[in-house]
Amino acid sequence: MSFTRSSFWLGLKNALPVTLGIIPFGLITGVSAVTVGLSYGEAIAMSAIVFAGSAQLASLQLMDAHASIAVILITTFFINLRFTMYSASLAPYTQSYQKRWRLLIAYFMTDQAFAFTIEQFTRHPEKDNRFYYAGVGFSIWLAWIISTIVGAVLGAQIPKSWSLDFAIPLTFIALLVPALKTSASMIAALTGGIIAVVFAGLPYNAGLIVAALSGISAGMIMQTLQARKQPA
Amino acid sequence: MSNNQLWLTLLFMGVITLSLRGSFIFLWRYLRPPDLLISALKYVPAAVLAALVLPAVLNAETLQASVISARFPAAIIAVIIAWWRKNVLITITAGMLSLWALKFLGL
Repeated sequence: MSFTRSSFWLGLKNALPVTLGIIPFGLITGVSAVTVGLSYGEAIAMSAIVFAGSAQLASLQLMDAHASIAVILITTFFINLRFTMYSASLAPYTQSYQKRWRLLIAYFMTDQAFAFTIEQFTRHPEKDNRFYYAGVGFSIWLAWIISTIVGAVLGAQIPKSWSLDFAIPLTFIALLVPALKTSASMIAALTGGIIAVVFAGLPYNAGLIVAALSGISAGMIMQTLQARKQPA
Repeated sequence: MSNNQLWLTLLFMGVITLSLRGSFIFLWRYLRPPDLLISALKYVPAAVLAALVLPAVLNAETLQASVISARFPAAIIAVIIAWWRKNVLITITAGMLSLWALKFLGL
């Protein structure tokens, strides 16, 4: 019994409570995928290839609204931009790993996997934490794929009159509201939301990109103004 | 969107996502996160999520009173529940139940 194998299983096991929080997201993503018109295979492939819930839900909503591929890809970029921060936090601890290991760590990177393993990396930087991370990552990945499949099968049975497509904006509301902690983030949300409505008529949903950029800029401007107001 | 376009979209989404995830893990020797990225990232969730939610619940492309009526108040209820309970599952359940109730009432 190698140390590496036992740390893989430890990661897998420790992450089980985390997967409980992932299952509802996976179910909604599976349901939404078939509601929008994807086949089972396409729904599963999406979860395996993209493996990022918010970006998947956003792209499904955009596909449903006949947005252009460019808008879908730019939105994916913005929503997943946060991964660069996780990547930067994990980078110092992964420099000695082989390329394929770093690729695996990148692929398994999620909000939950990062939050769950960063403590292990910072507290025990001298240890080989690859297998522990892989265990956590695989646990979350498996929960994501299985819940997508179950969601897709369930979604195919539910009639359209139930308006299950409404679950996508509801999921975003549930993620958005706790993110409004400062007045600058509220300004960012208000600006983003209003500009998106104003430019909703733009072709291919391009208004979303304008809205995202305006919202982010408004938040940053507000932050700068507040910093200036405070006495040094 | 045709089948080929869909697969191409999924593939590119995967490449973009993996590139962002791998970014600093692979480029750490040459590149550190710039300050602009760090401060912009604070506002990405608020700006992008609000931009996704508001047009969707207002049916902004087809601003018709009949379309607004059920989804918008249901979304308001969901926002209040999200603020109060800070729980994803409760928010989604409350929002769906509100929508069904409002529709049942003829809105």
